[in-house]
Amino acid sequence: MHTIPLARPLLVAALALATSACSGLRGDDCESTRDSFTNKVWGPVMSKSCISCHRPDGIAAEQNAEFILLPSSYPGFLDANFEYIRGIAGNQYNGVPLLLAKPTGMVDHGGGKLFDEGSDQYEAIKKLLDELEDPVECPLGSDSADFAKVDELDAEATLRKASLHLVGRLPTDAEYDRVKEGGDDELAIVLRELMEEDAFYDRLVDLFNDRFLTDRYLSYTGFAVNLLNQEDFPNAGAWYEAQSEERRRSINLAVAREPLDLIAYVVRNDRPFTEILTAPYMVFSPFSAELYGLSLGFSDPDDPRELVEGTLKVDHEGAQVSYPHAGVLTSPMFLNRFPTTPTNRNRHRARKLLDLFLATDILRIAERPIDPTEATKYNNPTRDNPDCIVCHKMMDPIAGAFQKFGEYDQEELIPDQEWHQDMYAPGFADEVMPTDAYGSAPQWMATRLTQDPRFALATVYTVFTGLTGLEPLTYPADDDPDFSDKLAAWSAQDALLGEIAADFVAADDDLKTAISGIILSPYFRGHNAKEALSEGEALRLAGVGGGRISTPELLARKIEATTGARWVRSWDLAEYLLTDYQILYGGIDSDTITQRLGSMSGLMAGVSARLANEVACQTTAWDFTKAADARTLFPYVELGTMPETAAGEEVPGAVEDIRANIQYLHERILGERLELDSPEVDRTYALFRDLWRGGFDDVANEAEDDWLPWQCQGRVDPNTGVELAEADRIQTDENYTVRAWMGVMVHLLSDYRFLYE
Amino acid sequence: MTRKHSRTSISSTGNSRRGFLKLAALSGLAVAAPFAIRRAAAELTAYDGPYFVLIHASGGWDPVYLCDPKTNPELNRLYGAPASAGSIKYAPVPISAAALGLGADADPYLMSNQAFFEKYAAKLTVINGIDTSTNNHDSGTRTTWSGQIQEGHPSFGALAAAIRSPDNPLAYISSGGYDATQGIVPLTRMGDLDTLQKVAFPDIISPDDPESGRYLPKSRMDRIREANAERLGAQLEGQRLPRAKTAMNELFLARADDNALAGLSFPDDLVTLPGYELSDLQSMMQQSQLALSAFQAGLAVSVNLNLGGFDTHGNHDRDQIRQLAKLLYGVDFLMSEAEKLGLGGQLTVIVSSDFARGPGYNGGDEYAGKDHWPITSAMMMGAGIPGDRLIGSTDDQQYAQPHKGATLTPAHVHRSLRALAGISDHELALRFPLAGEDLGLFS
Repeated sequence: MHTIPLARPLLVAALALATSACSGLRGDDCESTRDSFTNKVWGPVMSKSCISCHRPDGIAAEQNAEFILLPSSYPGFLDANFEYIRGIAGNQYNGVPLLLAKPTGMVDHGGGKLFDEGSDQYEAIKKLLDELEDPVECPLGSDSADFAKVDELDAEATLRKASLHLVGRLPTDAEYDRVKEGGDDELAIVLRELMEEDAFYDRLVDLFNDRFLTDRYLSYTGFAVNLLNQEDFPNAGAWYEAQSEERRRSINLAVAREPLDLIAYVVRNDRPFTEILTAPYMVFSPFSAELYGLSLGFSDPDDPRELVEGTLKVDHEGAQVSYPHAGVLTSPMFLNRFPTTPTNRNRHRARKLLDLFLATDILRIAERPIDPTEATKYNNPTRDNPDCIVCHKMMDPIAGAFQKFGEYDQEELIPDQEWHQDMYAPGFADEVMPTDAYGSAPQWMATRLTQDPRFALATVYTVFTGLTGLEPLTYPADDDPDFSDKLAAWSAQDALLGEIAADFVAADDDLKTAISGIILSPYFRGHNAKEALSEGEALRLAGVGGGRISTPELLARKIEATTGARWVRSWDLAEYLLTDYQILYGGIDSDTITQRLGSMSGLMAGVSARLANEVACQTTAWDFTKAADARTLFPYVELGTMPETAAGEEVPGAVEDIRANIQYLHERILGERLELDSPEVDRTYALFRDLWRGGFDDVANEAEDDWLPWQCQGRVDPNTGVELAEADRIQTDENYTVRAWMGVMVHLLSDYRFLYE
Repeated sequence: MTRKHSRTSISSTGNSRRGFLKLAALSGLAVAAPFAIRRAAAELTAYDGPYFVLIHASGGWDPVYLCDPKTNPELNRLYGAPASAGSIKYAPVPISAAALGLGADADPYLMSNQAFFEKYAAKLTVINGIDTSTNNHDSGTRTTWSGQIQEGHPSFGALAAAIRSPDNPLAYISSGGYDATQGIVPLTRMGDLDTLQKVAFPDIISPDDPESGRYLPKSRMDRIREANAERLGAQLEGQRLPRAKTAMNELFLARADDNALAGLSFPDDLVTLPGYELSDLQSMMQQSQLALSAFQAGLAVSVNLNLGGFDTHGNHDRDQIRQLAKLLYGVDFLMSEAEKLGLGGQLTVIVSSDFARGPGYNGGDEYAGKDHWPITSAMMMGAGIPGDRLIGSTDDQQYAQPHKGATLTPAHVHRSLRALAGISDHELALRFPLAGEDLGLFS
């Protein structure tokens, strides 16, 4: 549990006032004081007239002005600025608020006179100051007016979507029943239960690997282990090489996954999520413990999921020195994935810490042209050149967290290594790290990072992106022609994510609370608008709701969950979507390709077409080899269930069974609950009937073979590769029902609702 | 190296989903194009050039050891006087695999500056003294390939593809570098050969087996796709949230003519190089092969290629030189393969980096590196690019010198690139304006 520092009340207090989408700009009847500040003071006045000098690296700051505003590149900047303005609203000069006296030149102002008394800018600030004496509050972001236009999935459909996403399975009947009975309250409980399952932790590893990218070290066996220096970790040498191929693979996986396993461990044990940085330990599986030379007493030496806390000691000049464990900050894999050099001096790592844990893109903060002719005017530009100071003043002290780690060998601990005297002293923001904390610098830094209110926001942002495929919106550019609508969209999202961050903190930094918060939000649940949207409304709801293309990982799990079979290579049973098609289908390799593709390309459409064909081929006849009540896909029909006689007369009972199975498949594969007489059941039935009729006649005319293609025969368990007994196989299709159902499966597996979330 | 390059062409055998959009039109569906200039119901015509290959030396290269040689010993400690090939001066850095920390079997895959410039100077335009005005990797990469340091502009490759052949399913292919599209064209990543074939012929069980059959007869697949199109049309009509509508549109259009993929004529095999240390070059070369296949099939306009390892803050004299030698070999491979395929006359190749390195070393020992430096260079050759031309310069301290009275910037380069591609005045290009004036760098 961390304490809440100065900036935390900014977030919480602002959230208490926060509303987002009930602005008068859109003709609604509620405009909160925060919105008024956003729309009428920040946007048209302060972001234009004040920020250029009064930003943290501006000329006013250089001259020690107290009035400092954060630009939009800082996460939570609007709440912070709003709260700051509230705090200084009462400061006056001769009865005139300083916020008016300064820019009108009534008192000395370094920036001179910016506008006149009575001008629009003046009146906007004056009105805000008046309003701050009795602030207007509106509903929080999740209840905003625009979100109210979104038609959300009901509790059962949300459960299905969340269950497939989080644990890669369909909900059980019991879970559906509970949620149907108990609505969203019960849904929240069931979601917590899902987050106890092993599969959830696999998903969590995927989600955070998108940020940490340490799965790069899985690209070949030995990659992770070979990164470790053999002086400190002697088992990384000959001992490792002497292991069997299978064991080396397991060891490499455990070593590479260690920072992600720590995250899973913290969440599984319901620890505060801050522990991913503050943990004074590493977690080891039986495989990694052996590699690191630790005996930790595992209950099952072959269970890669069993994680145990442990600490490292390394030899330094004949003495055993404790590793200054600070969660992932000191993870050997994290240190290697974000390496440093003697000249980079851990600055890259500092940038990554700001990005990963404080949602702060330092490149965006410093995004302005530099003048190369200025660089050589200074002996030490990173300390003296204003162009450089912008970043380095923030970045270099954080880099000091890693001062005791080698600059050539990333994970090597060098306890007597000195910090660079020509850099800023180690520290965080305005706090300088005491020299007696240098030996435990990562731990000192971890405490500051997790106490910063941006840590909660960064965590929520990561979860938001992982669950929706969307990056949080950025504050719109002033000259954007759609500024007001985009501002409303940003403001609504900012308030909602801030609300979820506050809930996360209130729940003792519980990641599951943040995940539930996103799942229950319109960004995850939205599936349509209740009515046609105006152009402005469409802009304000641009990022809301479904439409995310499933990642290769999510799609692979969905295939297995819905069809009962994995789409795997026959020779090694590896998932196609995690191997051959991973990059083609927009995935990442955690190495050179680290950004997922968010929209369907022609090649990706080709992958989805092959997927549909191959999965339909391998599952249809296979499913019919089982008894009807044991089938996953076709419980209501048999191979002899044909819609018509050979002469073309309808067979009523059979038609009903076929339609019932189509209804069942729409729900199973697509999560679509349809009436038997719905147009979609009609459409799919017509497809089945046409495929069957054409094929049946062709087989009868010997224009088509009655043998199924070898790959589509029901002869091999697609999950295990084990062959069925000869008598149990389905190899022919005299009635053409197998192929007609295959066609229906292709149709459904190609559907938007299957391929997208 | 394995270099079988006899080509296997698989006939489409009617694997067409070309009718997808026609079906949409017949069903009365109005497809709202997500891409600004996409013609929703257009028939695809093969794109026949010009083709653009944009090669990014990722991390920040050092022109002092390539195309902007210096005699200043603070900047250069690897060679004496600059060498010349025609009008172009270059750095005559000696190359040997052993000195660069590679095994002897890597020697054939490293190309010296001398070999490269002697072979290509007559085709090359070299631009020195480009001021990226940043030392930041992301900003530098962005400005080098979009012409603007701020976010918001598409890469040149995306812009050219969106204007030249927006309906093409593989119009813009990227294997790294700056490939932001700003939504004007789909981005494609390619994989390996076998999987590409399977994707190009999804209805054929084993595309590499001439005897292989189909999962279902063509007539039945057509019926399935008809039902699929009707259903997607109904879904789209009923959808009002913009994100989902956009996704449905994208799916519609991505499927619109994936028969075009069947036109890909694949190399029989992709290049393989010995040893892990050349894996980055091998990847670049394989991507080159696939890019050329896409060009040859009339499916692609622009391709990003990428070679990393240039961020040499340490051990610069070994690591930077090694990567430069790989880069030049990769460019040579691309040009040679393009010639073999008869594409040389239509291919424009541009090579550049995030920024440069320098202006000197960050230490005194042999393992010293060079840090970031905003004044960089670019090299171009191929269709529309004048040969034997040197534009711009830097002084002995690596500062940019004015060219025609202006300090060259990426915006200047991109203005000329757009003119070269014939897209300067297109509505879409005008949506992404560039600073500065047109210096006619390639005229």
